Amino acid sequence: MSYALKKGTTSKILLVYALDAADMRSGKMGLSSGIPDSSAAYIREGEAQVRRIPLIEGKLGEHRAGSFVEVDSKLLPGVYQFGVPDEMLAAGAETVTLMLKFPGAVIEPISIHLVAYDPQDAERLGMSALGPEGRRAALRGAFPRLTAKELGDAR
Amino acid sequence: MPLQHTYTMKAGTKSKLLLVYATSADSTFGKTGLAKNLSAGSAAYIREGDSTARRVPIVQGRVGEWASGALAEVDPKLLPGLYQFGAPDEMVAEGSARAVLLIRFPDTVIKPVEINLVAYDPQDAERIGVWSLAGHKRHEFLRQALPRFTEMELALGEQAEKELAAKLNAKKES
Repeated sequence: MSYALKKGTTSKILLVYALDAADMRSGKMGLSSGIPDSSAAYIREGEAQVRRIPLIEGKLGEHRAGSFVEVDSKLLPGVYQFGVPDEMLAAGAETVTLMLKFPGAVIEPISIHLVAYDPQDAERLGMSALGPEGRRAALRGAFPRLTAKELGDAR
Repeated sequence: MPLQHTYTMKAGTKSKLLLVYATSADSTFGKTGLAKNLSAGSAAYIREGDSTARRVPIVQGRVGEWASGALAEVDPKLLPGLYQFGAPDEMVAEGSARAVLLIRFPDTVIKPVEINLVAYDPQDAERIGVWSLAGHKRHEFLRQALPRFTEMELALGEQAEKELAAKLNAKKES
């Protein structure tokens, strides 16, 4: 599973799929944060330390760091919602890999590419050069004296 | 369940660390302990358009530190099967649009690492490396698009220069 997210994204919810290790075909149901020997941890590229995420209960559609919730065991067996800690997606690394472990289940590691642009920004992909400030700076940089005149006349 | 390893990075990126996932060939669980016997493994890559594959000598690595070909096990308890690999700079150098890296160990499955080498920079928040959005390129465009504005700007510049020269002369004479 692979994502591209803007660095510094907060309150991110991931949908993950757990396979039943017994048959490796069907979705594993009934997993929860309280199951013994379950764990969540991640490593950010360039960091020497692995970070453990305490798993907690949560509610569907709501973000809490480390929350792990079964979505719908009848309609979507094996699908779970996981609340990503904000610090996992903070600026300072380009990739992060997250692993969720539960006895009897197989969940594919989640690889997240942390990018500087914003894939969810339809207007300018998060590029500051295309924002009002960046555009004004381009105009003023091209015509500095006319700008000074314009700004002086406007006062 | 082997993980797909797909990266998109600017061609010419240096000191890149890759995180790769290894599973046992006969199960779906993460394979630990590969870094204990590096001589059993091999790594090689091909860049799109190149005529030969290149071998990457695997060396002992440390988590969080880059060295070409350095392999380090991240944490066999918390992240079993996850390894860090130091991508050689020449593998991601300019001159090719794609590189495929294979890291192999006996009885182990590691999916190929596919790297899309792009001209833009996903790590540039200002303009994702798009050259035409650089300040001086935009200035050039605007000055060509608005020639009369540019003439007025130049005239103002010449006037400012004359005023400055007059001031300097006056200072000298006094």
